[in-house]
Amino acid sequence: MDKNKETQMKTPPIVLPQEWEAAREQLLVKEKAFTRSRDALAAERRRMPWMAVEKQYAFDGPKGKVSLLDLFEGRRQLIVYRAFFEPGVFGWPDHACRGCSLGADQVAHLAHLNARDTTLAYASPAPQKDIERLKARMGWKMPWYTITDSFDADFGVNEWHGHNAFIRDGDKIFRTYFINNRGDEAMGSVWSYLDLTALGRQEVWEDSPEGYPQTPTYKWWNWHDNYAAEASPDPKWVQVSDAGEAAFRKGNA
Amino acid sequence: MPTAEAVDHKVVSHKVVPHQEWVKARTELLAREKEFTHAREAMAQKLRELPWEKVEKEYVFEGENGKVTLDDLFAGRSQLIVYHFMFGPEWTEGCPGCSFMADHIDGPNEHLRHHDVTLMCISHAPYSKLAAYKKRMGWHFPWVSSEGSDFNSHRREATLTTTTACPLRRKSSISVSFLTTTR
Repeated sequence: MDKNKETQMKTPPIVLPQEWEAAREQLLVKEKAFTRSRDALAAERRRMPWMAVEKQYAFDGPKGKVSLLDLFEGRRQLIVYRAFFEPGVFGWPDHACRGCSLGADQVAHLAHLNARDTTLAYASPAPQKDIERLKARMGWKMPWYTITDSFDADFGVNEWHGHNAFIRDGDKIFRTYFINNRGDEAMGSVWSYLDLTALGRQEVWEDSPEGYPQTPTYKWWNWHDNYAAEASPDPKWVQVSDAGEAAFRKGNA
Repeated sequence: MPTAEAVDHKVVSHKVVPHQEWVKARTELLAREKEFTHAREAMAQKLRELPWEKVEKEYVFEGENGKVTLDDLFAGRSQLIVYHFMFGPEWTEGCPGCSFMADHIDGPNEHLRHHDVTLMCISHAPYSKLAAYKKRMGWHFPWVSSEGSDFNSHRREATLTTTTACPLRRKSSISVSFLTTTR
């Protein structure tokens, strides 16, 4: 830290451990209220009406032309982030936009999101050869498609970045939500993506409309290299996670 | 990777509306979204106003290059965030929940490093186990063992599932500025 800045910085008081703990406990009440308000907001998102996507959209992918339906990769839900990577964007052709690149760095391991029947894809007007080079350089793993038509204009992302969430019923596609601007700041974690989707985290505690798929909280978790080997929750993990939760609740009582 | 067939595919019926109506509903909810963003900022402000606690004790950990102190963990930066990753001395692999959390660290960490913040993990298991598991999972964040150290219990996290503490270093002294657990 800059020495000058450090001397000018007005810092909070230094207190004894007990006082620190008391102050932290007080703030914890607000933290919990904040977490609940995030849950409530996600519940409202799940009650948004859906919009049928009637038009056919075409993208270029690593293996050639694909449709919006193909972007789902067989899963039920799809999130498309429109990243700025094209001629005219700062950094082209070596880099994508700095903000979009920071966002891409935050994308958590996709095995977890995929395990909740949800696919994340990035899309930009840049040709596939540039996208392929960029991904290799930056170490990014998410599928990244080339926009070839009015997809960006139709979904509010031709001038500014944003996340569009979709769900499908067979071949029928619906747009379920849209996040842009500062809403994009919070994206990247598995939870942030699931909270954006029509079905949410798909856990039993959630306030979702009737009939929504829901499984026991946290039990679907697996190591990112072990989902394929183990389709359903490992009974030992269920036991360990239940015991851990009980111990924590007792300790906090 | 699970196929779509492996997941519950119950039909969900939902209200479907035309474009204009959808935009209207989304604009209405956007007001709530913005409220939430501002509440998040207010929360972070409160966090910054929390008093600090001076860390008086010397703690020693085992890392890649042998013994290190809490001061060393800062790696020369002014702030340190420690994630208490549940990995017991007898375990053969890390907790799945903590592993899920750790899958989120490396990407943002490059940016934090350049923002004067060190983010890392501490576990009870011996360092050799952490190093092997880190390799299996493809992680790069710094990770040290607190085996034989009472850092975890002193920081009131011995029995908790997952915890993040955030000490702050000023010149030669270290202070604890925040602690977060569970959700």
